[in-house]
Amino acid sequence: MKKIIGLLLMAVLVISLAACGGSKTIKIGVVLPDASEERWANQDGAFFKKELDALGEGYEYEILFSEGDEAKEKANVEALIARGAEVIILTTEGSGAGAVQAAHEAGVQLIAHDRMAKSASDHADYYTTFNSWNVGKAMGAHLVSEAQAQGCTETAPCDLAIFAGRVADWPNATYFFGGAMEELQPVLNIFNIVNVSDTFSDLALYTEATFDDDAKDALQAAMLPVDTDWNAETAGTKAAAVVAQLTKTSDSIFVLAPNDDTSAAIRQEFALMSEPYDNYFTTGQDASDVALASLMGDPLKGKGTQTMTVFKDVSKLVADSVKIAKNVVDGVDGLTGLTSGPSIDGAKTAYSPIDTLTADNPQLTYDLIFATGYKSKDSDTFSNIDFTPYE
Amino acid sequence: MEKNKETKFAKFCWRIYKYFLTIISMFRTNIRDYGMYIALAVIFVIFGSMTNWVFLGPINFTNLLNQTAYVSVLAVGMTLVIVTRQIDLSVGYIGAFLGAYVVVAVENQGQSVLIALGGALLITALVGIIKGYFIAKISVPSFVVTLAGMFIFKGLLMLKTNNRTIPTTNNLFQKIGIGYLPTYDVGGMDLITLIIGVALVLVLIFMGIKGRKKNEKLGITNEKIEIFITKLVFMFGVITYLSWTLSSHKGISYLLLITVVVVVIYHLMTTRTTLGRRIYAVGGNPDAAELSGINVEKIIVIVFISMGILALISGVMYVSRLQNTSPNQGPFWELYAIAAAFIGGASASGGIGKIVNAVIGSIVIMSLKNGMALAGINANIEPIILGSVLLLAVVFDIYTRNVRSIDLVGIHYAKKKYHDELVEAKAQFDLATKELKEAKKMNKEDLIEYEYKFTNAQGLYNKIKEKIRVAQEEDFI
Repeated sequence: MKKIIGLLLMAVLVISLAACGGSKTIKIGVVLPDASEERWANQDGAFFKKELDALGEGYEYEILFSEGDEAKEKANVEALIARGAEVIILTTEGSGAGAVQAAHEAGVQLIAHDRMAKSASDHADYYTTFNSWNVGKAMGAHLVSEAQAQGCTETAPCDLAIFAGRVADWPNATYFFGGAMEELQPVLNIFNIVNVSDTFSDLALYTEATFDDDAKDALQAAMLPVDTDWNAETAGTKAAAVVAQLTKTSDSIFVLAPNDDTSAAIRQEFALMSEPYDNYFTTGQDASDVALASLMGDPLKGKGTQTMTVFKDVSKLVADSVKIAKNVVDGVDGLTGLTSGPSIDGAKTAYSPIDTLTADNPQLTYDLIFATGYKSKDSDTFSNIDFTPYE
Repeated sequence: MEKNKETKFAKFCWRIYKYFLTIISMFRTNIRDYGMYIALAVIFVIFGSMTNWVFLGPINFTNLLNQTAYVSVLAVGMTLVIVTRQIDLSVGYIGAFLGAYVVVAVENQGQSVLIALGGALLITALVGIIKGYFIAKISVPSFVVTLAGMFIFKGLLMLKTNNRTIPTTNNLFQKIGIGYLPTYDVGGMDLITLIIGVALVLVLIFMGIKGRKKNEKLGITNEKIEIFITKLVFMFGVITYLSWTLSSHKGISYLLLITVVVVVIYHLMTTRTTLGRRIYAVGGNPDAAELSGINVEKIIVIVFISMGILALISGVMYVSRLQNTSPNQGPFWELYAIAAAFIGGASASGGIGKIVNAVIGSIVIMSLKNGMALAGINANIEPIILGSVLLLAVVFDIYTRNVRSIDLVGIHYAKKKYHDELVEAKAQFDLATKELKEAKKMNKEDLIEYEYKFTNAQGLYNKIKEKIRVAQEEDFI
């Protein structure tokens, strides 16, 4: 009997140990996908905390994570509503349909942060994003200009491998891909596509202005065979399949990689070729440590050569979302004082600016990343790099 | 006069004391069944106090019940699987796949919901038969068979959704996922929910009294009247609270209704039908069940088919609630269901596990998730707490497996009745102990005599103690 009581007491103790968080009414709620992902915990999560703390009294807030679980995401939104949130900032795990419904049923405004949230009949009130189409265009343009510089022509085409993000990550992955294809498609004849199945040559030319449901279907159908799932391991597996059946037709290879993590995994597979290419050009985005090391000229810790990355300053995106939330709490139109873009899926959209960093211009990388303190030079990944010429 | 009053007062006190003794006896005897209710109450109170009682308020309590629905339905099926000493790891992805199947059939292929559901039912029944065949006939461990099923259905889910999120638009999905029973508003309260609550209370009282009368007729001992009334009062309190909270928000959701219907059907099936008895018999001792003429293989196939059907219901509830189907759905559903069944007291060694308790287990799990979100606790802590609760629940279950029944009122009477005997025996025992000690010290030659005397006295003393321990109230009336 004593043991049983002891066990019960232990249970109480364990639970009470966690009972350190107090609970007060809030005005602004934030729901992010996953506390175990660097991006959400240490970038968006940290910036939200900083920005919202700066708002001070009258803008009480709470940040919750969904652990990659859609049901938990909806539960989080419901919890924030129950605690009195007037506006909720959400980065959804799936489509966000349940969250949109729950929020609108309670008369709460919803800001889709970085990922669109919508159901079949409803959508978030606001959408903050980097112009994903332009991110894709920057990647495509980089490959095209480098190819032209390398002297690739119709008669002497250069090898091109194409990889895409997760198709289910709508609209981002499709927009990245569509933007890149807008640049690549007109000059596709100077390339020789080495993918296992070429689903790209017959694609029509789509621009952001002409983008519609048919374009979405066509682009996503082309993306499916090269869907990396935003996952380095999947990207590596798919790259290995390309490498295995590849016949080299040029000394240079151009690789469209959707982000830095997958880009690193893909180039490691290409490096394993018995006779690797002399020149390797590849894209990426997110300005990860590995990509930055590579751009700054360290192929060792940079895991080979990445020639460009798109730097999306998450703190600017977060600042935009918070500004909209503050406007909503203040009772004015959410986009007051922000750069608005064309409305996506019916939601009022704010675009945050992007920057293109290339291996050709390490000074720009230094100025934007290291001089601003966005990343620390002391990180172990950058230990081989001599920063003095740029300071 | 004075004396009379005193005895009256003493009698009154004794009756109150006796009442508490009875209730405590019941708790101590049935601690396995009530342990988790206590745990749930503790969790509710902790989260309630941490959130200014928002946690137990109408909005959040409605949310909590809706959030729990899909896990509860899975946990009901999982309890029977565990009762028959099996496990089913495939239900998460089967549920998500069937949800996707129904959504794709309705939204993209233009089938009617009924045909889509019928198709899904056929698929899940077939899958249940295949799983049951491999497990029961070929004796492949269920862990392996269902692990294979988990991978297979993960792939099928991705194929079915074509790696895309497909939103639901059909009215039925909207109704199931976010709809509530029709309401009739009276002063901010939904009358229909209140009426259902009152009806439930009446049915409970009626059924309880009827059951007691039937027992009397058959000569089966009824539980004590004090316990019966206490249980009724408790149930009355719970139902009153539930109908108050639900009716002051939006009434009863279809998710809750479906859950309740599933639970009632399975509760009756397991407690009132031959099939139910057979399932528990197979779980308790498969060999004995086989020898007594039960077709064990058939029972296992049935259990897996039932699990599949519940996975279908759960999957449809999930996609309806989230208003989309996506390739990301499915992971962890089965693990929550298994955890809920174990927290609800199902025994891994088979034969034990109650349907209603599995639902309580689900509510425990979802309360932790919901409560932590509401209290704004770091989400990373949640799995740690959940894991600890699961482990504690199973340890608790094992510790309380051999708890003997106890009747404190009987003990009270017995202590009075055997008081003199007990004192006498204790004195004898003490004397014998002392004498033996001295004899040992002095190293007497007839030491064996003293030991003999000591053993006798000890036996007598223990016998009386045991007689008091097992005393029943009935023996003294």
